Amino acid sequence: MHANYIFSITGKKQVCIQALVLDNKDNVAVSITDLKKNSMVKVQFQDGCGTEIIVIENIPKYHKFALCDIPRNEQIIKYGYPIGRTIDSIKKGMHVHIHNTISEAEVRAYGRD
Amino acid sequence: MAGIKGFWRKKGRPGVRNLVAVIFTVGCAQTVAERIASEFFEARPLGYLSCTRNADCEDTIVALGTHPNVGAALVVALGCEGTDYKRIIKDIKASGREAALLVIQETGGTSVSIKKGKQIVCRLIEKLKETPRCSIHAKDLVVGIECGGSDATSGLTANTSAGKAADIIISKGGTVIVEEFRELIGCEKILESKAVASIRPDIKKALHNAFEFSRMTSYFAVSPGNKKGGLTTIEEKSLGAACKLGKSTIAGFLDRNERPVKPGLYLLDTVYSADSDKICLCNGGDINGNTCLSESHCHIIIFTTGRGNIIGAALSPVIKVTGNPDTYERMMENMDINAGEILEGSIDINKMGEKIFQLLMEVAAGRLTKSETAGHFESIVMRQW
Repeated sequence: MHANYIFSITGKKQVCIQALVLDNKDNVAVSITDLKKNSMVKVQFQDGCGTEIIVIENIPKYHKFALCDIPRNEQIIKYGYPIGRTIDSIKKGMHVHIHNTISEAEVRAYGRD
Repeated sequence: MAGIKGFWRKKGRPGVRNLVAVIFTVGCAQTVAERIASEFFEARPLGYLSCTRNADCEDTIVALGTHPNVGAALVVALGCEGTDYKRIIKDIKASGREAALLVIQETGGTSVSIKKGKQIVCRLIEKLKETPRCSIHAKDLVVGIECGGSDATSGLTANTSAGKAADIIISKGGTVIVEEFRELIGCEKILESKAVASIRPDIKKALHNAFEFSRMTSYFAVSPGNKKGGLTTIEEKSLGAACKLGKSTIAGFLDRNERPVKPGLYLLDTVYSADSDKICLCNGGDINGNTCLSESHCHIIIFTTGRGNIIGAALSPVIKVTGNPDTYERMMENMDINAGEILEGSIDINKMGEKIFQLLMEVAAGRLTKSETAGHFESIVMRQW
């Protein structure tokens, strides 16, 4: 259950973390600080493991970036659940937001356009 | 634990505040009611704008006038409105509360009505000093959890720690109510797995209504501010909002203006439905959300925000929890708790949940929230007509 996750990060260990992955099924991470284009970012998973990813665009604080290449018309997964679908192919490290992702509920309501 | 001293009521739950509700029964009486209440901290103006008589609205006003935190009421009527203000007075009195009536047309205009209204409120406040006190524990409390002005931190910190606080309240036998079905679109599976079987059809229907309402109004509740804060779709916002529910089983489903009987976690449906018998339109935003939580007799509301919402509620003290450390720095005047500390690594979500619960109990014991000290008491009953 996504609502049950707990940050494994405590104290000093977190200082260097720049982004979080909220569920192991997720294909996006959430930045917790402004990230500069082409910088190496420290990402932490819920199990406490970390990885490093190069973001290829500026990522504003609390926005999302792709953890892997995501083709067009694929689901974006956050909290372990789909939050929308890509309307363009997205490269690993790219900003994921309203310019390349659409709500499936809105598609259901209005159609694709 | 010794318990907190609450305010005993002849009928219903004890209160954590002892207020005078100054109720306007039509928009024409709003200014007079507000100016009467403006002089007294304990007097809170609230009411109903429409002139058309509607029994649901009268029920709602009565629910507010008999809120546990209300000790007495002054009903301010213009005199020619459709709303049956005499019935409102009668029903409030039936709860054992004192209720006075001021009809502006009979009293003789603005100034004299304000003057007379103030005298009445003064007398009611004096009488309320005699209210017997009684012990209140967490198990006696009904707590609403609402979110507003969300950003991507809401699901990371504020809502998640509010969910922890909800777990604590419920583990102690208390009651928690969450509304905002429009911001649960996309959480169908989560809600189904969390709810007792008997209310799953209600939840499904409420989510369907919320979807239809959003489609009809061409607005899927993701505001420009939400987007700026990193929220991309309604599903993403909803998954963050659902963190408020914590780990407990959803034990009950409430329609608007219904009150929980047994303890536990409740979902409250406040979304207008075209095929419902009840006439309601409660999607004007968080002021309506808070008002609906007050109608369901929430003693206190925990209000989470990312970008920084400032509102309170007339009858239920509102505790503001922001998940965004920058918002806390910028708007400290309005924020009671900085759950953004979680992102800074100084505290974890469990401890933050305990901190919210601790403050909740202090507020129940009389400590004023920032929304109370800043004078935010916005409440309005909104219906479609």
